Amino acid sequence: MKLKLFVLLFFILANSTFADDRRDRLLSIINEELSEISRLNKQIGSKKPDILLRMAELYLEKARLQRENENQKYLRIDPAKRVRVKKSSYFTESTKNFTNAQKTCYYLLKRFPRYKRRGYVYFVLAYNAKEFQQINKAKQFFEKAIKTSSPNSDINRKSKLALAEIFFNMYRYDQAIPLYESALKLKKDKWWTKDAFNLAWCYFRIGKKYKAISLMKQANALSAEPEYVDLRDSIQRDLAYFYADMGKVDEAVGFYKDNDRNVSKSLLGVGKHLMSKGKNKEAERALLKAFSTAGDEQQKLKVDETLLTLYEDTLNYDKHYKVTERMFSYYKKGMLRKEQKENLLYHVKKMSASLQKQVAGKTYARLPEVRKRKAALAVSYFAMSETLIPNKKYVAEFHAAETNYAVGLYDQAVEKYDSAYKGARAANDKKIAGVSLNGLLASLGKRGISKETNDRYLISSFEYYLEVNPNDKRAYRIYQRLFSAYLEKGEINNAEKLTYRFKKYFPKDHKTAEVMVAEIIDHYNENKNKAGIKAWVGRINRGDFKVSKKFAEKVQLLLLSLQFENVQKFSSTGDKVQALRGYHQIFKSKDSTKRAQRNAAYNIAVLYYELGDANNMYNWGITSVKKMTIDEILKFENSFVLFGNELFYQNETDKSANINFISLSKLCKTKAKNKNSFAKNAVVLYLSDGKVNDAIDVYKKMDQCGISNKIRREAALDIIDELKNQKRWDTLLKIAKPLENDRNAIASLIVPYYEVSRAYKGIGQLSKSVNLDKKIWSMYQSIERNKVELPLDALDILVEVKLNTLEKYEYRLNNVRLSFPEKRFNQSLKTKFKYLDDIVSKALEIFKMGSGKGIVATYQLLIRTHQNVASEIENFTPDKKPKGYIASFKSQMNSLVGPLRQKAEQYRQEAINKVYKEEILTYENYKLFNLYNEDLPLEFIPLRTGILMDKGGRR
Amino acid sequence: MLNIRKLILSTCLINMFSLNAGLNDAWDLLRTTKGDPKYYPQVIANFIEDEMYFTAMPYVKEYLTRFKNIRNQKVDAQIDKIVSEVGVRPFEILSSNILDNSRAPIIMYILAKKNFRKKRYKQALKYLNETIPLNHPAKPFALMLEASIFSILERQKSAIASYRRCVSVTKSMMSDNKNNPNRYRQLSLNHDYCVVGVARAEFAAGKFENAVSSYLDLPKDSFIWPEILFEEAWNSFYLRDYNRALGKLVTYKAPILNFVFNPEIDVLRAMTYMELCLWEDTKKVINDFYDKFQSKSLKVKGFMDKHGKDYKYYYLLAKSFKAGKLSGNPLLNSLLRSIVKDSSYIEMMESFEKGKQEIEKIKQLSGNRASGIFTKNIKDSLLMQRDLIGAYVRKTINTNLRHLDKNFEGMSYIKLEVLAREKSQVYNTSYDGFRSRGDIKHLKRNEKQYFWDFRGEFWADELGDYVFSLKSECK
Repeated sequence: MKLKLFVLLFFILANSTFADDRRDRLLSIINEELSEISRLNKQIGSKKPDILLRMAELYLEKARLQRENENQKYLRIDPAKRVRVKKSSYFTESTKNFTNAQKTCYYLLKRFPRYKRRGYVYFVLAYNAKEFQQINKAKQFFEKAIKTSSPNSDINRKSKLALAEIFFNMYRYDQAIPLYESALKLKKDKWWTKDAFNLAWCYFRIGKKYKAISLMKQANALSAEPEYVDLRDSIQRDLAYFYADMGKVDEAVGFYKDNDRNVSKSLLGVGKHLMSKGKNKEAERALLKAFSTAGDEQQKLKVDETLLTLYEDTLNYDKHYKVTERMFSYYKKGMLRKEQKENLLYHVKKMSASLQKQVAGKTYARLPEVRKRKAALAVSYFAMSETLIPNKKYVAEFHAAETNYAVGLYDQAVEKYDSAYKGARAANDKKIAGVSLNGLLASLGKRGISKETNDRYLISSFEYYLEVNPNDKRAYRIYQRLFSAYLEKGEINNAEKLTYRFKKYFPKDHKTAEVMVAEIIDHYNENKNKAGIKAWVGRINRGDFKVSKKFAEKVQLLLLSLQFENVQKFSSTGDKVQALRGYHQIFKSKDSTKRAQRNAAYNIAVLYYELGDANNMYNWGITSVKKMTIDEILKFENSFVLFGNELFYQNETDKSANINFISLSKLCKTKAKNKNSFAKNAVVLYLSDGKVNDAIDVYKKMDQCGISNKIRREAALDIIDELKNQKRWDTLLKIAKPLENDRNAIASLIVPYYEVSRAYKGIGQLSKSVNLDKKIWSMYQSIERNKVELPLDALDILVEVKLNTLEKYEYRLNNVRLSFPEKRFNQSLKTKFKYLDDIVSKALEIFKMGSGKGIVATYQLLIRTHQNVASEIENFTPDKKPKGYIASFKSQMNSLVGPLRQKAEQYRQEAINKVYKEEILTYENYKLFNLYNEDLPLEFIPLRTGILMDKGGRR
Repeated sequence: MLNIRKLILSTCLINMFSLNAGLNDAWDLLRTTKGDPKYYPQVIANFIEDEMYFTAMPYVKEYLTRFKNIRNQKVDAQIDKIVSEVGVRPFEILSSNILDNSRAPIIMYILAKKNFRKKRYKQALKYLNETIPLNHPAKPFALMLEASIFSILERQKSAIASYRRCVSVTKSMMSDNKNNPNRYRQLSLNHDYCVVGVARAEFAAGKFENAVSSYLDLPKDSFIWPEILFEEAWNSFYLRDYNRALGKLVTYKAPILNFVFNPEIDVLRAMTYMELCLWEDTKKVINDFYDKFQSKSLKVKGFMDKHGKDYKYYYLLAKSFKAGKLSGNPLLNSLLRSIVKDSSYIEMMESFEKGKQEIEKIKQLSGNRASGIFTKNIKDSLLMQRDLIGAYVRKTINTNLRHLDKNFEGMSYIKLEVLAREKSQVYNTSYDGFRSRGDIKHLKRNEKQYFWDFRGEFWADELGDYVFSLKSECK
């Protein structure tokens, strides 16, 4: 049995659309076919090209059906979403099968290069290429299909048609025509009408219009026959288009009449078609004729709808408005169907929006009259919109307002904005309400606005705004403008309430609130309304409103000026008693503000100072300094210096110290110029009264108040000195401790520390004493290193300490007793000489200290120790030894004694030389000269007596 | 010693002589002539005398090989006799050159057959032309062959004439061989084939109406009737009598005909449904066909590839199947069932049995040297016969598998045709499903409703006479 190959290509070309179920059914059959053909191909080992061709055709057919399906699915996606999806992913199945078809064809051509039905294979490849938008490739394959197939074959004809269609779509009508002609000559199948239709268009395009009309008529006639695809609608439409294009509209009318067609309806179709081709003039002509020939209102409405689209496309606003008005009147009569109403609404919306955009845009910026005309047109459209969408009336009103605003018709804009705002609020449309209000406010702010409009809408619009936006940036300004408006109208109560509202929503902006309050107070002031002022002063005093110092001062001054008015008069005229009396009254008055009281106290102190009443001056000074603010004290600090001095002069050291200390304490953190004086005076004055504890309090305060180091150091050393006198050793050490690291202070600490050390030693606290001594030596070394000048009394103390050490060595030396036997004697002698060496080396250290007293004393010790050792050796005689031995021993010892005595003498000469050279004057000097410890015969007598100071001063 | 040996030998010969005189004479002759082939005709005559045809076969073949242009009527008669007994197949394997040395009518028949197989029809006719006498045992078969060649050469009139002569000659010869059942069966088969040959020739000539009546000449009890029923179905198909064709084909579902292996029955059934535009029925037949054969056929192919040309295996396979041993593959069982029922197979097996009987006879010559030589010769012949049987089994299976492949292909074409027509309907008509096609009963019927008078039972006298009553759904 042989397979009768079906020419599937017929089907491929035949139908381009199928119902979904029909397509599914076809896909199901094709799947079965593919499955079967694959089985067959496998069975015969791919040996039959016909089978492969069939397979390729099936793949192509399947792919095309799938693509339709996929395309539908793809188009069903929401357009916004569709932009983001990967398009190719929706066409994977069809693409796969197109590719399979292609592969199969290529395989077939390779394996069976001389296959007699190659034309079919190329045809499949061509269709495939067409699907992949590879038009050039498709063209080549169709050409091959034509070339390799019999001229009379079906595939040849179909290839020609397909190729012709490609050329047709590429507007290459010259190339399409011979192909169409050749193919249409061969056979008249059901699609002949469609291909002839295309050919007619080709003729038309290249100018063979009569030929085109003739062929169209032929296709029109065949379309009426059942065996052909009925294209009469398209043909008659396009034929009319041909006529219309040739300027023969009447012939078109005639053609419609001949074909029993409704003329108006047909002309409407022609009009639409001409519109689609961009032939708008011809379209308008056809449509107007369609309108004039319309038999009923509905037909007229249909034409009007198309005219609206035409005028919309051609931007013919005036004509568009006329037609819109006509339709709107139909609407008001209730004659529009739902879709017609929607269409009318669309046009109203579109045109109003378009016009509004033009009005707002730059295009007509320099053509104000045109703009105004367009604005008026837009507003008219919006007015229609108000009727068409009553529930969105406020939106249309808003847009109308915007349009008026754009052309500077602010009064009209305000009216519409106000209405739109109210409507939007009622509809709870916050967005429109917001923008309407913005527009309203902006319009009211414009120069061109009339007073009448302003008076009518300004306050209410501000209140609208604040009601919704009580605390935004704009509200901030609006409060102020509204406040002014209220004040301007004299509505002081509203202004006061608004001030409170402002304070509530802008609690940090005291400045603006203050201005508002000031204006209110001014208002009261101007109107001599003292109660009003008093009430506001009270509010300020209660802290209801935070105001600037300056303002507060102003307000206070306003009150002060009332209170001090008379007292100041007394003061300026020299009536101090009256003035004192007045200030006392102010100070005591319950109505007086604190500031007034402070002022009064200070003025009283000054008046007592001027009167020389130290006691009252001190009391009022203390009172005022305690009550006054820092800034006030700073302002009057010189006065307090004067108070302190005056008290000191009047021997009121304690009071003077107090006022200085209090002043210091008050001005502690300021940069008061008299701060150091207050501190120094206070310490000195307290110490002069022996009030070391008070002085310590001042000293402690100094650190907090940033008093200079120098003054603090001096104060500390003064306090230490006083503590030393009072033998308050522990407190002394506490005060002194911070100064141990102060290179400028440690030299002054040596003596007090030495004193403390002695005191500790005296009461048996030796370890404390030793520690202090160590500290003293440490400080001494630091002094040495830093080459700081050491007070003489301190140096003497240090030397004395050193000498004490030296004396310890002398003591040890003296304790070494000479005795026999000979070995012991030699050992003792050796020890003695060692101690002598130690003493000499220690003595050198004392010399280095440069103390005259130390030098003299040390030399004395050196002389003494050497002489003593010499004498001891000389006087020693061993017991129970023969004389000869003794003689020999004595003789040997004399060789030691001599040098020792020489050394002692040498030290004495050196000491004398030093005394002279360095002008050392000590009580011990005489011992150097008194070689034999006799009483000193010399006595120092001063050369000059003292001189009396002349207190009379220069005359 | 020598005397004693002679004595013993002669004693043995004497003892044997009484039972197998021909064999002994043959042996003596062979011994005395030292195996000279020119004495083979006498030797062969001695074998024929003892009905030792297989034993004689090697000597006949060797004689044909050794001598050219043998023109000896006696030898021809001997060859005829032996071929008639052992069958033509052992001689068909000889080359035409060797066979051409003889002018024995049976050799002419064999040569004609060989040429027929090689599609050298004219040469075949030449060998048949007046070379086989009318009363020759091969004449019926030669006439059958001649008619077949005419038919192939589309000389249907000559073919019909030859078939008719064949029928008459065979019939007369059958009456002569009533006592020889094997021969009678062969002739009977030949007779029936020649009867249907007339119908086939008419069919080939496009005279389908004539063919219908000619097919009726074949009685239902004929051995070949089951296979011919299928041809009748084809004839009905060509007569566009599709319901009758389906009725004939359904007969194959009768259990009695389950041995028939002919996949083309399903192909024809599918085609018939297709012609009635019963797409679903067509597809069902095709899908059932695939289910039934596709995987199994692959397995049988694998099986065949595995055993290659192991003829002994195939011989044993068929033999054991006949003895009741089934294979695991139903398709193979089907094929084997049809083979063991096949007349050629039966004939070959019978020859083989005869050969084995000859061995038994030779065994009685035990101790004799002749026994050893003859046994060896006959065994060689029998081994060849066994291989021929095996080869036949293998070839038949392979042929059927090839047919099956062809049928798969055919089924695919049918299905594609059906699908194309279905699709054509969907493309060309507005699709409204298949429910709009009319009578609902045509949609709901099942197989049992196919038959006009069939109640699920097959009655022997009704076999082949069923007629369907399906309406065509073609538009």
